[in-house]
Amino acid sequence: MSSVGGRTSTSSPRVIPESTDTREMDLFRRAQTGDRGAFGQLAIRLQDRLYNAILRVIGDREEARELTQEVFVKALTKIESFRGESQPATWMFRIGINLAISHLRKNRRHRSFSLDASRNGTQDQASALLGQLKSPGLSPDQVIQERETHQQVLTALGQLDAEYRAILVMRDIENMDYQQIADVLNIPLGTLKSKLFRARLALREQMILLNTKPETTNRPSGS
Amino acid sequence: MSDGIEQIESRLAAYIDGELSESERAEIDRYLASNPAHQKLIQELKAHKQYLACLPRESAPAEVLDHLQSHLERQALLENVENDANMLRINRWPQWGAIAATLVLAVGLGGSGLFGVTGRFFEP
Repeated sequence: MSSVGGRTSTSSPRVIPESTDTREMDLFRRAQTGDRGAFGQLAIRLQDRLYNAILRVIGDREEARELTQEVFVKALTKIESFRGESQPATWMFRIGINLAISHLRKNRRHRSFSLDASRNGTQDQASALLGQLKSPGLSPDQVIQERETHQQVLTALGQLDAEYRAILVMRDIENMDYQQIADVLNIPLGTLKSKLFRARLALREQMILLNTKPETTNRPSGS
Repeated sequence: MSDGIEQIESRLAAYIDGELSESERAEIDRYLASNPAHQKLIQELKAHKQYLACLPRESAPAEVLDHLQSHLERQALLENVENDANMLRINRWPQWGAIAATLVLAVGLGGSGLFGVTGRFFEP
């Protein structure tokens, strides 16, 4: 597991307003005419969402960083092929999520992802403290309980098939709508919804397995 | 049959997400009210959805933009080199033109000279 310089926040995913989409489309159109500054602005706007989504699919910060970088380079290379059928963010997600899925399938690894930036004990304490400050209404026990739940969900997610993981990340973490996810994965809407339900069942199964296994298997095992 | 299953799965996914119409939702509510085991399952799936939504979000590390910045700079540099090379190629045209003109002139002059020489031979 690599250390990460990234910031963390517990804010829920943003629902992107229409004006944001329009602004992104405008930046994208300018980038298509060779305006590098506009592409940079677009990257600034999308980098956190892309990185977070790829990270939750991949389960490794270093690989997620590399793949996010690759997304932008690929997007620049293919920028002329974008015809505006979808939003620029959806188009970038298509590149990113497909890169992440093929990366996982190529490496055929199940990931068990840790919440902590490193396994350093001091940082664990610091993040526990931060967790408590971020949730002032919770008792220390509740904060610990919340962290354990998060860890368990991530571990269960890491055991799923790559496509199931991607679907859950896009729908339940990134709050993307069905059509956007179907566009990213290039599958019909009905198939997407059916797969979403199966992905949720698979996650539940993994959660049950984790709860019935001995305590040690619930610990983060790194990447 | 499999189409039927896919449809049911689609509706259940949409039910969990709150994306069904009121009448569709009411139909599933009625079914679940009489099937506690399935109701429990759906409750669990809803709870897991909530867990995923509450996971802490991480921001991209600074290296992501640094890498893009370097890539854009490299690209701009390469384009400048290419433009310079193009300019050099364009600037060479007058030279090639001059060479071609000289050759045409030389051939022309040579031809007329030769004509002059041969003309003298055939002069009566």
